[in-house]
Amino acid sequence: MRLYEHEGKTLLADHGVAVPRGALWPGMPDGPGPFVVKAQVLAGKRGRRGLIKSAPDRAACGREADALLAMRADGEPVAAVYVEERLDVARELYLAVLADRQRRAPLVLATARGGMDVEEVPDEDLIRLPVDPLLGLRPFAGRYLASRLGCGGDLAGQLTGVAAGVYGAFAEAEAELVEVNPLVVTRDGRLVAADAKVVLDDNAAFRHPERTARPDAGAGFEQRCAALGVVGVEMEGSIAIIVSGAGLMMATADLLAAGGGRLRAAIDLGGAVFQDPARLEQVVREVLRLRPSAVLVNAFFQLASCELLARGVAGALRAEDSKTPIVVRLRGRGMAEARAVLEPLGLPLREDLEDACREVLARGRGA
Amino acid sequence: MGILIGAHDRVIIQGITGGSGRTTAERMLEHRTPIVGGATPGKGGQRVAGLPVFDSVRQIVDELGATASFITVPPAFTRDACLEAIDAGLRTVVVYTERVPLHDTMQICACARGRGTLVLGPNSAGCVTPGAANLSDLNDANLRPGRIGIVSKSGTLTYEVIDGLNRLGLGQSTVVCLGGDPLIATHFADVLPLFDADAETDAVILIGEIGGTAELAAAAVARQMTKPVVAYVAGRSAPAGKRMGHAGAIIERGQEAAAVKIEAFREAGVRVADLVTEVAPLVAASL
Repeated sequence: MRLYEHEGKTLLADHGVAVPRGALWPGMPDGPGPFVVKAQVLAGKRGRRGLIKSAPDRAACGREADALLAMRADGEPVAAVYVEERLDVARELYLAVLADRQRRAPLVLATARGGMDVEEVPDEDLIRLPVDPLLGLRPFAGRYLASRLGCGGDLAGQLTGVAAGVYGAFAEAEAELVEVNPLVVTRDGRLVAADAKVVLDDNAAFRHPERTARPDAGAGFEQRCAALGVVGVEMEGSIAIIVSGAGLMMATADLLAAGGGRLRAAIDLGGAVFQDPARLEQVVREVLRLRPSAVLVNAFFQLASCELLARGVAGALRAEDSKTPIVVRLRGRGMAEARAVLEPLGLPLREDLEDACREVLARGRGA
Repeated sequence: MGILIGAHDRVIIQGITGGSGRTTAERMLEHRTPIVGGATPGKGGQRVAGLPVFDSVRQIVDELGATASFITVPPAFTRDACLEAIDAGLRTVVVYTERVPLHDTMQICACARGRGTLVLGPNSAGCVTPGAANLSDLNDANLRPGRIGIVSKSGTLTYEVIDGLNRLGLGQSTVVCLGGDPLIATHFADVLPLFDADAETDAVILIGEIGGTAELAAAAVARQMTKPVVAYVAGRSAPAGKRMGHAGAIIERGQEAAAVKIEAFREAGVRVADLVTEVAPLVAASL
């Protein structure tokens, strides 16, 4: 789950990182202007999208806030407007902690060339510091970062504190990413987090009951699939595939693409195959409602039963009264029982994957 | 012989008293995997499928010489179960549980590295040396003992590849499933050298996917190997930005696209199958 900037800044402040004085509009931060008026959206690159404005006083903030609240970023409505004191910037740094899949450990990313996209920072200017999660980010790591970032004197001590705070937020909130860009050095020598991008690990949500899940944007096919406990991907093509597992789903998509097919949707049944046929039936019905030109059901089971999936398909066909061509390829336990369920519906059971792919491509073209 | 798991191992199941643990134990017994017992905190003294249940892993190590564990407990308990297995000195640990919190997995990885335990997963289908020991959810009936090593990100796709091998009369030395969670403990590059050193393996199949950069590290290792490697990268047809089932399978930056990985493999002398159905024939041709 992504946090809005103001939520991320609250998290950082809770971990001792200095953030600008700010308030959600129509509230105003203490102190005189000028102010920065910032649209709260989850999309990035707000500056370039015109979603961050300057305003000298409260009246101007109000005008900018009204305009921002009517805007969208890639279709995402502006959730709120956050008003902050404008910082007097001397330098802009970049500091982030993320879960590094390759190193299998937390990784601090930092550069003295903050403010811009970190991907555009030349490799030699980018500091990568892996952190042992069993040790945490120790003061020596903060001193190393300060020295590499050219922060001496009082700033070195501040940077060590900020690094510990950002890491603390990352570890305690169980984040995938905590990114501060820019981390501003003000003209009066303070280190202030001018932005905050935080992505939390959804798999850890059970340990953070205070965290309220944000209702997923939209109620489309993919969200309805998620509610049924499967992964659904909606695309622009015509053929739909329902597959037992993510790897096999991608491989099936590749086979169909090689045959000239384009996908309307792909479903990874995952653990749902061990659940009841009623849920499988719902999944198949969701797919049929997308009106694909043809559907391929492809499962290779080790432990789950083919019969369960066959019953789900049969139930969905009856419930939707669908004429959509369906090709069913099943391997594994319970094939005879699955055949007994499907053949009365005129659905022969296929065993060979390539044959099944060829057939669904042909049926999808109306052959 | 194979790698990671064999007839000489003494296997335990953590979470043996749960539904998944019990059926896995029964299956292991039926197909002669050397399982000696299981662990579930608070259930010590019970028996499951005739096997003794202990409160702690260290007790099974002390009393029955356990060397490998299959962990199937809820995500909230997975970190402690896995750290316990590592601390008790087990050699190979499969984390079958999926959707393990990211920070738990990173702690598991750090601990396993320090202790020299090889952890597969989270969300790993496990590893199996056919005919010797099965520390996975793969059906023994679908496996054939043989000399092809398989290391794969995905469980279900592995079944398909094994099926293709069987049809060509090619058995498997060891099948290793790395796991579908976004951050996993063991990567292709860790497993490939084990296969290269294994006297019972003649060729290796690597089944990767879009997302992440583990295949690029694997290509660098494959370049140094003496045995032929055949690779397949699933999801080359996936549109950018779409998460394709596995939490890790999403193309966000250039390095993670299938084309980059395929090119890296080709440059390293790895034969690349365009489609999963081409994997087994390519292996046969490389022997």
